[in-house]
Amino acid sequence: MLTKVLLIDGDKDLIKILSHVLSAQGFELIAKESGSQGMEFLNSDYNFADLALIIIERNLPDIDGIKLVGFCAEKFQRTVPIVFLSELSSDRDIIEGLRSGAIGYIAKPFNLDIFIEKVRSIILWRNTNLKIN
Amino acid sequence: MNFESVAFFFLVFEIVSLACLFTALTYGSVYSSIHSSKSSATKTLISSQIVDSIINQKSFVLPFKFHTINNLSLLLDVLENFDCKFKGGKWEPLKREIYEKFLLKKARAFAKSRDWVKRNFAARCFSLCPSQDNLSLILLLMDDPVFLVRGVVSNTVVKMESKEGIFKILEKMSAEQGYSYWYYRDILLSSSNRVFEWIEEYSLDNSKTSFHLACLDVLEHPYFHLKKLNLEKEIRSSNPEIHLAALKILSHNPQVEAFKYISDDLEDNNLEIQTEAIKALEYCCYPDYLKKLENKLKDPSWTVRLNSAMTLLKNGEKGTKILSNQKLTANTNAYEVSQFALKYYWNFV
Repeated sequence: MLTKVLLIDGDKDLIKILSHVLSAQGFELIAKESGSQGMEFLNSDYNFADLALIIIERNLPDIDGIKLVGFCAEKFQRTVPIVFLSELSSDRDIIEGLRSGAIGYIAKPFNLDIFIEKVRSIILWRNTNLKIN
Repeated sequence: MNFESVAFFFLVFEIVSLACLFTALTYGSVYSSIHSSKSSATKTLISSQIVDSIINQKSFVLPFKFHTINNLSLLLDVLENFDCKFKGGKWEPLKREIYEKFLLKKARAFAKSRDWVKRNFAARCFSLCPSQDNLSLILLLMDDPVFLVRGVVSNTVVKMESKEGIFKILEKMSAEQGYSYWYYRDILLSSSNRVFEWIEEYSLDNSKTSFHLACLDVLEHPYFHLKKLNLEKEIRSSNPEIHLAALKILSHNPQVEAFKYISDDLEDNNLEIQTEAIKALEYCCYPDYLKKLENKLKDPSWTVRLNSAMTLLKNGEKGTKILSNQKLTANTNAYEVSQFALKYYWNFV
């Protein structure tokens, strides 16, 4: 079962909390604090085959989250699910986010318990898909 | 005393003044940079304490001894920041614990302060953790002369769903203009269905025009459906503002006689009302409405023609067909606007 989650978000407090709650559920969090760090990681030689989910903050200080999602969707040919995490939560923002290639949109403020359940169900779906294929 | 010594005296005075000014400015900038870096260090410390409390499920300990307004303001800043990220679950009880332990007492004391910064602090605290226990103070702050106080605290009554508070917001809306009017309107639009039901109830009283208009303006929200309000009186009102507001509600809340009213308004002398009636046909399929819209393509007013064309396009295949069938030889106006809408539709939506 794939358990690695990539989080690209500039908020250090959020990274600490999510890292703790995700590891408590048996997931491993790889955190990148900026869009450029995220891009660097995505372009590295890392073995992405064990990546279960990518979570991207929309309002990154250096790169537009939409562009980053587009890049990930193209790189992984939509095999790795991408979820947006954002303070922008108008209907238009959500539609724009989903159209860019993300399969989910979590608007801030969010409930940590619900967040965990969403992550778990997406990863479960990803693993089931992997088995079928 | 000769001229040279007077000039020398003024020169020395000027040099000393400039030196003092330079020293004061340098001191000010150094002080503000030290203060801001100290504040940001304190905020980081508070944030890490909160993160620690969330992760390890333990009580929050304030990282400073003196509960001064500056320190508590920093704590409030951090709490507001966390509140923008998290809700429910582990965050809500921790937030309430910190609020009750460190902020509530000060907020109550500051609510009646003569200093508006302290009243703003109180308003922000009440907004962070809305509670019925503080309703009287919240209502008091809603009448504050400073918008930064009454605006912040108005958010609280919407979160709390206080009927009295909602009435007060509507009153404020009817009395204020410009930015504050739209601010109040926006916070009411983000409220629950229960609040909308109260606003509908308040809108039944039309004794005060500005208040009535404020209620109608909020009820225009497309996700709320009227239960008690019959718009007949409003739609026949001689006041064009009331008429227009009622028409906007009617387009989202079709009533028995709706088409009759909309149909009449299609011929209204007021261009705004006429345009709104055309837009209302986007939402509901009334008998012969496509034909009425097609006729409006020949109207002498460009606004009316353009809105009719846009409404036809939004009606899908049937509407698009009508636009495509317009012939240059039959009517230039209708042809021109149809081609314009067909070509530039996506620029408008």
